[in-house]
Amino acid sequence: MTEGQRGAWADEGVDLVRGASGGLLLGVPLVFTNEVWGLGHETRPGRALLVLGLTAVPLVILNRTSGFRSTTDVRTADALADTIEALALGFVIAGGLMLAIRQVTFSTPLAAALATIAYETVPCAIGIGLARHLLRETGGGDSGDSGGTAAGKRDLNGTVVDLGATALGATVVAISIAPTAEVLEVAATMTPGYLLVLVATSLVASHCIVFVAGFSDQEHRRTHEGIFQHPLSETVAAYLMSLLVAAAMLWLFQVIDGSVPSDHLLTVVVVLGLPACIGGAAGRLAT
Amino acid sequence: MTDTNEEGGGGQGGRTTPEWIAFAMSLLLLGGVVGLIVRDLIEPESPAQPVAKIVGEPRRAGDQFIVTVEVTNEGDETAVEVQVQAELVLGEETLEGDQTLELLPGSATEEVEIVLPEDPAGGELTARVTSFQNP
Repeated sequence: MTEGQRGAWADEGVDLVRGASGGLLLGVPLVFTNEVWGLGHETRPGRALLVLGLTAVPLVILNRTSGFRSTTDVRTADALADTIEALALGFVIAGGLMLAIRQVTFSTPLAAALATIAYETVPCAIGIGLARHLLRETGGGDSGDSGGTAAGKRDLNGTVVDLGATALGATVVAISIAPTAEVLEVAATMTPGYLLVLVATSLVASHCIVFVAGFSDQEHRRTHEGIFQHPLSETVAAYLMSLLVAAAMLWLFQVIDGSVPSDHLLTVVVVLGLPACIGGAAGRLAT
Repeated sequence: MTDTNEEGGGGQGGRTTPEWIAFAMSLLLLGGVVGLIVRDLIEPESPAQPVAKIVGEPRRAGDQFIVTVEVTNEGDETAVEVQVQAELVLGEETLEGDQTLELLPGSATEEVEIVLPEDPAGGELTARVTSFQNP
């Protein structure tokens, strides 16, 4: 394999991770909406197809103007091909998240599972189409000027800024999910194995959004110094902060208190930790 | 796409080889999903048919008795608001208890617990679905 071919594979990988990151950012709130979980059981196959078909319309437009790739599609054929990819990737993300929170299981009737995931695919696919719009992409020449005074501030106390931004982003997302019944409903279905899946999903999503997807200031982030400024340690520290925010939100809305058994406490915090962590990653990119 | 064409080495119409492979895999996945949905669309679904049966032995809880009833939807379509009734005939006296299942997908099985005020031992205990609705 030549260097150019390796580069093309790497570019494609980054493009897909960027798209998946955008899909996660937009898709997670609907994944935590129980009205959609049962919708698949009541949905006729024709409507499920219509949902996927209608989602393709804005995707074509988004892929014509921006999309998830580092290059802008100028041809309709490319936009159509990227729309197929965005729908498929959105379906995989939505299906993966629904399996992770056990609202679609391997015992769910296939037609119901497909219809439920089709609905969940809508925001995920739109998020993929908006990936470059959602958060400014790193430009070759713009990483320098994206620093400026903000970069100086980060170098000075980057850890504090990052943890603060994580807390803020996590709060924005977690506050709208914490008081809902969905957190408890998902927690009730969790087993230790699935909790580990949720932890892994949260960490991978957060890392990909901030350090792989090629969103704003990514290269500059990798040069940060400090104990929590290595990509892996920053991801772990940000996750712990997201769990802290999730616990605070659950306490604030009286979902948990001092009388809650520790294993139940851990479960609900890890469940809410998934959307909180994704919000936290978005928060760090926004600073 | 166009500006990465030469680097990929396999560009066809402006897309690199990895982009074509990702597209092909996406097309395969989406085609499979659409195919499965179309199959459901074409195949006629049998109407919802929830049936109830008693499982296990009734157990005592204080001065009441709990009966576990298994409800299976033998049809393909989903049933909602499934009313399940346990009926206990003790001599000339008939006692009833009810439970409602909000949602029972096609081919799915759920269990409900129905409370009866008397010990079913010595009486005739039956369970049935009294009504349900289509979504």
